[in-house]
Amino acid sequence: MPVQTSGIVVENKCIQPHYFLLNIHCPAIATKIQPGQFIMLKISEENSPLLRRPFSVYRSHPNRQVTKGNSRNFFILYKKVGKGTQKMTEFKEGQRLDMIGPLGNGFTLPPLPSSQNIFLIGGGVGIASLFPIAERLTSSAASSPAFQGGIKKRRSGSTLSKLQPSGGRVEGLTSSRVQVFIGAKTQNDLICVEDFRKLNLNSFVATEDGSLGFKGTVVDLFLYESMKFSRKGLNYVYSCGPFEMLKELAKVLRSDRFLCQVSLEARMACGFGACWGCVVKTRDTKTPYQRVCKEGPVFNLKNIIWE
Amino acid sequence: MARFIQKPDLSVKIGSMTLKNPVIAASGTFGFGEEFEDFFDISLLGAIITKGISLKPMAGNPPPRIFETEGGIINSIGLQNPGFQDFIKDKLPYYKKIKSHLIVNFFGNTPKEYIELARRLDGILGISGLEMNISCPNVKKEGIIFGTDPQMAYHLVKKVRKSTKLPLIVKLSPNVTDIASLAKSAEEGGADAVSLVNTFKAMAINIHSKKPELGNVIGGLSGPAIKPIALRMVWEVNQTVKIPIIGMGGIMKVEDAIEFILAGASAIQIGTANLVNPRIGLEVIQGINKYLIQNKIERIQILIGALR
Repeated sequence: MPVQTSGIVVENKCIQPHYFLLNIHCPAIATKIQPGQFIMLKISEENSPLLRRPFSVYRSHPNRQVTKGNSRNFFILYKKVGKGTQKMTEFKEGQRLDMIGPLGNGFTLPPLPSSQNIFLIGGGVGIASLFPIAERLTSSAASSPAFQGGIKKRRSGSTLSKLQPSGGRVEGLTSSRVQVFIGAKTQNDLICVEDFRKLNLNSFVATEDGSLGFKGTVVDLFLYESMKFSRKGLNYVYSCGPFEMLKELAKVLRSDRFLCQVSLEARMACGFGACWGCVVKTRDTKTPYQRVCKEGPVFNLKNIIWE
Repeated sequence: MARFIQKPDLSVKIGSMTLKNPVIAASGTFGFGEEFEDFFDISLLGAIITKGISLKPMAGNPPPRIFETEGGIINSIGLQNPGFQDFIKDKLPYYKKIKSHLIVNFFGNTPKEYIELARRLDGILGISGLEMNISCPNVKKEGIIFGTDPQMAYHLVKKVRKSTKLPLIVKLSPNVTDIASLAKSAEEGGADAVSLVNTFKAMAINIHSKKPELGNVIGGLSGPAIKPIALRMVWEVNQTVKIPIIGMGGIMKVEDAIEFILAGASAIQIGTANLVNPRIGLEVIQGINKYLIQNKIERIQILIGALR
């Protein structure tokens, strides 16, 4: 159930040119929000911008015993692109923000125990919304450079079953089965690379200009690298990125062995299902246009009509 | 001696409906009600208007459907709705639990469809009134013609009037030269009230792709940007008709609502603001109450059209 509430800015800092990390203290949302869910944030008390802006959560600590402050916070990783995000860079520590969340349907983690390959494929700032999946899939998470002084190292040895009470027994989902693919236009737009490495996950990097890693799109890179991994059984793919990237991904993941969940971005007005402004065309025969904010933002890749 | 007003009377009459307060959730911005139950008790509203309903389901327009402009939103949802049958089956049961008036917004592609829908909606338990949309700019069919031609509007309203005993509100388009003449046509056709204004036809262009920002090219502009024009139109219509006016257009806060009431609106609708602040309806009700107490006004009716 979403709530309209206020959060307090704990920190708002530039982590690399154009990219910012916003740490918000908001127990009502932080303790509930799941990977892939989002919040609607009011950026200005005035009417400019008029509408709230959607942000998926980059990092939070739900389903966890709350001891000290940190698990009541969540993080948004955003890129300064327009008027709204420009104003966000001016958020000051202690400032109160009006927000609604958690919203939408998040990612569904693979059934456990799992011996399947799991691929996380992110393009641009989209990779940030896949990080919470990686956190859930790995048993421990070290603090990343982005969080110096922010989050204490989690206790090691916690397993997925502790995070997911209903998840059943876990036979140790090893991180070697989780592969992360991160793509960006240039080296300067690559984010979160270190975060995934800190989780000891195999990470592959692509830049369109070739300034770092594989030269090409992240989908090309995925195609190239995924050949190396076992193709037996099911492969779980989680992806987030620009529409064109996901459209390309849909072309290469036609096989039934790939179960792919994608988190879509869309222009939204309300974020909670009232206006029907953020729809995407799906294969649903009764209601082809479904709401990204309500039925999504996470969809089965194969249910989307990419046009 | 001025008396201390503790509990001002906020009730207003629209046709045979008595609303406990003049704040109404506008069609298309309040989903099917349930989207708002996480945020406040929607039974507190004076009335709730459904998303527009057509005889047959409508898929709506291709995305993108929303574009934000300075102080406004252009939308081209395209009247996506589940159609009459599924509305009654899937959506009405929820509304029946709400202790507020339910007004069903409806539209047709032909006069026949309008009449048919009005007839079928008549007498359904749980529906307090109808709002007839003759003005949505998002359908390319004949809908817009009814809303811009006084003669056609008169004949259509008259036929629909005969098809239902429910209170009938006619929602007017601002995309006309003289909105007062349209309001007059609706009144003469037998409408119990007019609601105005719907959105202003608008568009936006992306100069990098050189494409329109909306999938449908054209949409309807709403939000604070349109408020001064909407207010002027309510004032003009108030000079012309005797039936109640329901005012709307960019109401974002209680002060805006009171302006519309002073200009002649018996009730007001909140639209775009619901999308930004889902609790705005409640806040405006509380704000009106406070305004009446502070200004020692016993009944809101005294305020309607009280512009000096």
